[in-house]
Amino acid sequence: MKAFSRLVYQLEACKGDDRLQPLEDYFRAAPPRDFSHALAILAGYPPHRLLSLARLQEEMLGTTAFPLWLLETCREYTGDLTEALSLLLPEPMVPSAYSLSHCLVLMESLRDASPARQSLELLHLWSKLEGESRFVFNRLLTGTFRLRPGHLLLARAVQAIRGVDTAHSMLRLSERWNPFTLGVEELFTADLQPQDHPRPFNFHMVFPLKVALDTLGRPSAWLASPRPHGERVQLLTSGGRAALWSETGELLGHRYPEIIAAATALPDQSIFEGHILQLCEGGGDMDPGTAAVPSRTRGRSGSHSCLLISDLLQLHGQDLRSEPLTYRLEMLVLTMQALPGLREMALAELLPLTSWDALASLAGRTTGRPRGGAFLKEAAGVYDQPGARPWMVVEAEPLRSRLILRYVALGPRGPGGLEELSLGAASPSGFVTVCKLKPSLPAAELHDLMAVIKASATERFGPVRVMPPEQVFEIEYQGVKSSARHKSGLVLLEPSLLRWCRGESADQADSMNDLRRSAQG
Amino acid sequence: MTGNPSQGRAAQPTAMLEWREEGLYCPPAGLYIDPIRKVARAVITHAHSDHARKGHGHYACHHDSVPLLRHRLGKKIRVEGFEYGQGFTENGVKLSFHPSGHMTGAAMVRLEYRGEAWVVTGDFKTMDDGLNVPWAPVRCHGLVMESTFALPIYRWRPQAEVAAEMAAWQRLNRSRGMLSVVSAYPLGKAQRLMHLLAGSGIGTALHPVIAEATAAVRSTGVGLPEAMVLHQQSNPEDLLDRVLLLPAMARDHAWLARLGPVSSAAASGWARIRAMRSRQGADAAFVLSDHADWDGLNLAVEACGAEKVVVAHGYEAPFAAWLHARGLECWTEAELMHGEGHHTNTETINPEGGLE
Ligand SMILES: [Zn+2]
Ligand SMILES: [Zn+2]
Repeated sequence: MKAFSRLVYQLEACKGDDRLQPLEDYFRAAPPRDFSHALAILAGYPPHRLLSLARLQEEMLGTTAFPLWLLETCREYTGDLTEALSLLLPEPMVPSAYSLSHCLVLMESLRDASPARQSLELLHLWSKLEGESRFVFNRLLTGTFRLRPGHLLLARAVQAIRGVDTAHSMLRLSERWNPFTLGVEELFTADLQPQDHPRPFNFHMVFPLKVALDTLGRPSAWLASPRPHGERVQLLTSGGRAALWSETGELLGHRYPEIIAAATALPDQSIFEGHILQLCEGGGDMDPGTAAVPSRTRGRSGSHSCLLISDLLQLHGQDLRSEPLTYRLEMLVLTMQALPGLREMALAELLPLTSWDALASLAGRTTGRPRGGAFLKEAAGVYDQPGARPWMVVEAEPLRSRLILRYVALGPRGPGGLEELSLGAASPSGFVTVCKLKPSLPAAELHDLMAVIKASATERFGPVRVMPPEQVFEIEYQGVKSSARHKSGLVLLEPSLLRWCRGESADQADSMNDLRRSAQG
Repeated sequence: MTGNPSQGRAAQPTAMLEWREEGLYCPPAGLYIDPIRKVARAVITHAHSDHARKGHGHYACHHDSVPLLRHRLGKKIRVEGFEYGQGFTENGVKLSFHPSGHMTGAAMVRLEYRGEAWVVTGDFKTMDDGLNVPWAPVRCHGLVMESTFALPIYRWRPQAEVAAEMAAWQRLNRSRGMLSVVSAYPLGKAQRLMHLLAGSGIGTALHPVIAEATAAVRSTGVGLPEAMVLHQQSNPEDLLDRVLLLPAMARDHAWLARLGPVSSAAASGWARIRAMRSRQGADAAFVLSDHADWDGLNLAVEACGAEKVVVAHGYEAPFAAWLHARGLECWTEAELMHGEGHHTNTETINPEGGLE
């Protein structure tokens, strides 16, 4: 368990290809049983939860006899209830030797056990695990383990350790398996028929727009659409089955079963390109660019995924990629019209441009969601064929706001010893933190800001200083997204620090209401 | 819900201590303990910058803190040192120094006046680090204590386990041709790491600033392992077998990059918490602190037998509420300094990054 929890911490600490090394290190050293379990967990198939978070809380408070308010204080500082709960117990006197599979076998064995027996066994296990291992195990226990480094990265690590071809292991990883019955030896030798899974086409290239718009000729030779903030995919239908491929060559079907199920209504032997969106109930908080707002929306969790289709690359086995975009779109519209209304599929709007100004306003449009900019596609363009022009992304003009400094985190890595600024806005119930930013300010200003922090911070918690609501900063961001997970109820998209508005009074800063309004544009 | 610690409680915990703008004051003795502003007479618990400041007329501290204060504050300060268990009497106040286990020369200060005894802990840790005189409880009626890690999520593991983890990290780095760099506070944490790593057979290489601080610690007679001093011409080959200790601010220096690929680590109590760990921006983080953990803090309260506790320096309010619920009479330093509910920061920000 310790080795796996260390891997989890390492993966959380880095991004992208930096994650490959820790994965390889882990898989190289892991016993075969742990290998299969770890791979399944990281591929997106963790075991089903045994306890609810409420039950975990009951157990931990029961055994420690800590009052609820103390737990709540701890949770405030960890920012995570599972973490706070897991760290409440004393550390074991000797390091534990329990493996990942030992812990998972125990967890499985308790599925049908009485609550009393579950408590007994789990308390024993918890008392033997170090805090970090206990935390990772409790995530698995309560079904709150969410780390997904991506199938491609896992496949590359597997290739490095076991020499299994990445394409082959990508297939293996695309479907849930049972690591209790399938060890790592059987996992990759088991019969898999790659021909069952037709491969996607190469994705058409997308570049940011680098040249002036008027060098592109007549606006009417181009089509434009708001750029959706979602994963770009191709959906393939074949013999009653469907496959969803990401641009990085990952099969995503297991993550979006509702889209796969809905794809049975699409014509066979066809390939669609689009983006995956998460739509909220009621359609009020839609991503931009959907022509068809799903009417009847009922999902379990209040949101559902939807494929926003923007291109048709193959229809009934016929390759359309060398046809002009306008023709492909015509075929796409006809195809979609023939379908029953599906909430999992929507048609992206692609608008003929009358002027370049129209493009700018499209790129900056804020239909309550990200200002993602716009795609610009040549109306007569072919798809990934020799001589094809890439699609271009036009960035939106950023939004600006003035926010109040609430907390600062001091640390060695940040410029001038300042690691992070937490900025907030006023709401009727007090100040609410809205975003955290690196203090990218000129050295002289950093120095002055540090002096202000020294002089006026009201409280300290480790490296964190609490500031009185006095200092105003101007920031730039790409949009606002509502979010139930954040205390402020919203997330600023791609925020960055513009300047410190020294001497400006705090009542010139934007309130939560102002921010919410900017979201509506 | 938490019970209000201020209910049925005196406004001031004792007549022999006052919480003033300048710092903690003992009126009958006429001296301050770890004062924040310049005062005539200061009693210093230990040599860290948030406790020992420039400009006081006279310093009194543990014997081993004398060279450390001189190192930090200059040769010219007027300072007097005392052994553990020893001290002096001033106008009827009996004052003595007792091991706090925090770092070399670190002491808790006991003050006794007209039969009432108070202990000011300064920073302390109950775990024996094998390098410094370990903490031992001192009986008293009242306790003024730090609460840097006073939440039950902060629990330390035996330091030998942390040492083994660091050794494994260093070996992995070496096998990849990477240098192992740990950022450490030059006074205290750096020497603890030297000692800890030597126990695992790993040598250290010290940044010049840390080498100077280490020389000051050595001059107290504390037995420290040999270490190499880092400089721009250091041969990377010689450094691979060691752990490089750098002050936090020096971690990004260009000449370090010239030595070759580096894996960086932080060693601090904050590493216990995920959010804090990611803030430290290091490749690895080890939970190692010179402060008491939750169990240590509770042990300290129980073992000294105090009925009154003033909580300072950290998670004051929750820890005061916790102790209040256990039947102790509690105050937070902030409310004593500024009246009820008014919290003001009196700490300077540590230019080293201020993690400990
Ligand atoms: Zn200290
Ligand atoms: Zn301190």
